Amino acid sequence: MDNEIVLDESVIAEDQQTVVFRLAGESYGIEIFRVNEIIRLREITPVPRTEPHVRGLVNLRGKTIPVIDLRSRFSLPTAEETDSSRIIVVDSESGQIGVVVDAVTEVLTLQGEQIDKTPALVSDPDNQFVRAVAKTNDRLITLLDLDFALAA
Amino acid sequence: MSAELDMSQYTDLFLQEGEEQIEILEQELLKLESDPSDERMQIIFRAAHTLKGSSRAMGFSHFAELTHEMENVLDQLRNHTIAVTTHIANSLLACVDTLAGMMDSIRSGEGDTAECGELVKCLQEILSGQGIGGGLAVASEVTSGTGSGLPFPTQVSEDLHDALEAAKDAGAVYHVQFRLADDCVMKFVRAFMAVSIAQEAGEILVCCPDQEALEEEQFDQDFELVFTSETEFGELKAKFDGIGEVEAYEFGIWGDLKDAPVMDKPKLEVIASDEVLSAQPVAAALTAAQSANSGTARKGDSGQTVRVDVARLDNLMNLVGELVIDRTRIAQIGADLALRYTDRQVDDLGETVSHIARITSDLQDQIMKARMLPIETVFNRFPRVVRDLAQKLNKEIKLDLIGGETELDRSVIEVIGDPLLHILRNSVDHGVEMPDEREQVGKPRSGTVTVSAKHQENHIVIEIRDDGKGINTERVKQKAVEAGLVTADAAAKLSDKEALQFIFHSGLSTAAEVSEVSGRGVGMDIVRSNIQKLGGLIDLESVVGEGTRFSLRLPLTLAIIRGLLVNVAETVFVLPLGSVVETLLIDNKEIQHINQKEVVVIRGVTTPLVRMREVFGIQGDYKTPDSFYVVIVGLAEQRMGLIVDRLVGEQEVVIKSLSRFCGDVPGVSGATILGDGNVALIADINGIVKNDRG
Repeated sequence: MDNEIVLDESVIAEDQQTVVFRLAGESYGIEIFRVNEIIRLREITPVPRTEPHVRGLVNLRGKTIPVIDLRSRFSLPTAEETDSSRIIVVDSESGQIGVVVDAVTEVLTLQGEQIDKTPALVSDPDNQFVRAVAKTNDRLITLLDLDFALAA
Repeated sequence: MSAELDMSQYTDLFLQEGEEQIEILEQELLKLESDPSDERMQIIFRAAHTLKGSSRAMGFSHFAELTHEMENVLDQLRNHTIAVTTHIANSLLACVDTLAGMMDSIRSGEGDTAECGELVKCLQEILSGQGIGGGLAVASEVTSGTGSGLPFPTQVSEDLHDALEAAKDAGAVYHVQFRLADDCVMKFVRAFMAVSIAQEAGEILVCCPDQEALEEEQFDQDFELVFTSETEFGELKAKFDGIGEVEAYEFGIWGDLKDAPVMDKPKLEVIASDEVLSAQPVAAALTAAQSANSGTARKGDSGQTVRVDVARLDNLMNLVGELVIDRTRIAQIGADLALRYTDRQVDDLGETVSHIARITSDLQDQIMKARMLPIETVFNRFPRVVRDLAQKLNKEIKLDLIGGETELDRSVIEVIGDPLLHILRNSVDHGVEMPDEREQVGKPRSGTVTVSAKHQENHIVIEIRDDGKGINTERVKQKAVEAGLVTADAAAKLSDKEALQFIFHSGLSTAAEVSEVSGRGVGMDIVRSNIQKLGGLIDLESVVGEGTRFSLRLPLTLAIIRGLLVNVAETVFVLPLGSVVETLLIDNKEIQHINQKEVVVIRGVTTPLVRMREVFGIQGDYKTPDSFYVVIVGLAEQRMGLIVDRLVGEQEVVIKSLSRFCGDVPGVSGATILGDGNVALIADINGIVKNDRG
């Protein structure tokens, strides 16, 4: 009990496992501990009179969970759903929420030095969803502030 | 850590039992005024006593103090030293309220913090003969019981006395009385030592209080034993001397002791005269009396029951809900397969599916039943409320409760209490007239309010009826006009029935003066919206001079409903079948317009129409067909037609809440999962109707 793990938001923990997904040609990452499961796209029942980015409800083994469209949330152009489209089920303050992405590519272990909490980028009001940016050999991965992205 | 856990376990137990005892106390105290029978006194006394014992064991000293004082007063009542007066009943009821308040604070972890000094003082005044006011009434000395003196010898019944005398002839019968020290830590250990000594030496004839009470420390400081023994007096005395933490004790041959002034203030705690005699051999003659008494104790004791955590039942219900979904799904797959293949295995599948279907519905029924509670649990609050209210208003009111055994789901029970109470208060406050007024119009002085419950198909119908002055519809109309709800012209055209509906409008009260009880005009609208939220209907009828009747129609459960599945723009919506009156196919030409709103005349009744597509803001290309499916829904007296694209069918659906993430969606009350695994939304008829009125 004594050695409780203290999470300090200002310091990005050294090694992080991150689920990397693609959205409109770019790579984004979510901490793996927030991810419950990844499911194939399935029938989504629209809920009328909700925010446009709320796609609706899906049946997750007898539970109904809301699904949001990250493209619409990030004001990206809508795209056709493909075979690689997935719903990432994450934990949030208001229970489980599904997030529709173009594709889930991999799970990466990011080292501390790869992560850059670029102030210029993070403070940009248009990019409030961005928590940090990770550089890998061949590309940049935008690490999302999930709570912000899911806030209604 | 484990010690803490244990304690909290006991706290839960204490709370559970305490609540039952408090309820018994309240119920019986209310009946006491009209029927102060000894039997009832006994039940009340026992409940107070149990509360005292268990609160003491838990270390809730305020709680114990208050119950102790109550017990003292009750003891005097029981011994007919004082008689029941309204003041005493009020004080005792106030104590019950305080105890209930303490229970709440104990539950929230604050302990028994409530201030009870006033009440304790009040009870002590009653005891000392003051504070009874003009109504001081000392019971006549008809009964032999006296409040003072040594209770044990005087309370020995003749049977027991004879039995003891007989035992005395056979051998030495000893009598020992103990008073434990004030600060005795483990009373039951000391008592146990004494009991063991007596048991070893011979046979215990009388143990007061009984051994169970001793073990549970349900006694103050005093207890006594009568036992036979061959052992020498001196030897026994030496043994009794060895028991520690004893303030005083007297030991001698039975019969010799009773005349001796044993202790300075002998005041033995006698639980109940029949319990004194629970010692086995002698008490045989008295078992009849005892069983008669325990029979009145509590209904719940009869039969074998198990306490189950409500959360577990809810969980079970959820699981069954999922099973129901899967059942429907498998049935659908089976039906699809049967269409495609003719095969024995497919037939077998069909049979198995129908068997599973039967079992799941049985299972569902059983679990539903397990969650059912008699509506009594709600009704039980009423007598007290009516009594207090009638007293405050100086009215005479008789409350009839009918059908308390009618069962309905916990979820409904939890939410209907307040609406019912509100209607009841209204009936008492506005409905029933003052006694003099009633006499003038030739009614009995005392008004009658009847609350009844009964099953009707899959619903429960609750009626609250009074024989008061009824509602003056002219006055309602006038008020409605004043409040700007309706124009004077329109009001004049309203039927009485329609006018009465204004009662449910916020900001309208027909009470000439705002009283403490009601008349603020908030309330009935909240009552109605609460009832409607449950998928219920509320209606009222009133005849001036004869009375008013509210009737509520509620579903038995909130977990599963029968729904009509309809299609709107490729999305399936579920309309609760309880609100559906009929479905019609209406020709385009039949639609008329009033105030730019679409209406249709059905059998002479003009019914407003609402397009579901518009309600839910669904866009998309939609060519107006020549005819429409219209689902007529009813809310109380109102009818409304919902235009849908297609009717899909009827099905039992398990209600799931919309995720918090979606928040409150107007027009949607929840979601469910259909047989094909897809999610469907459950329409909130109430919300749609409201929305239409803007």
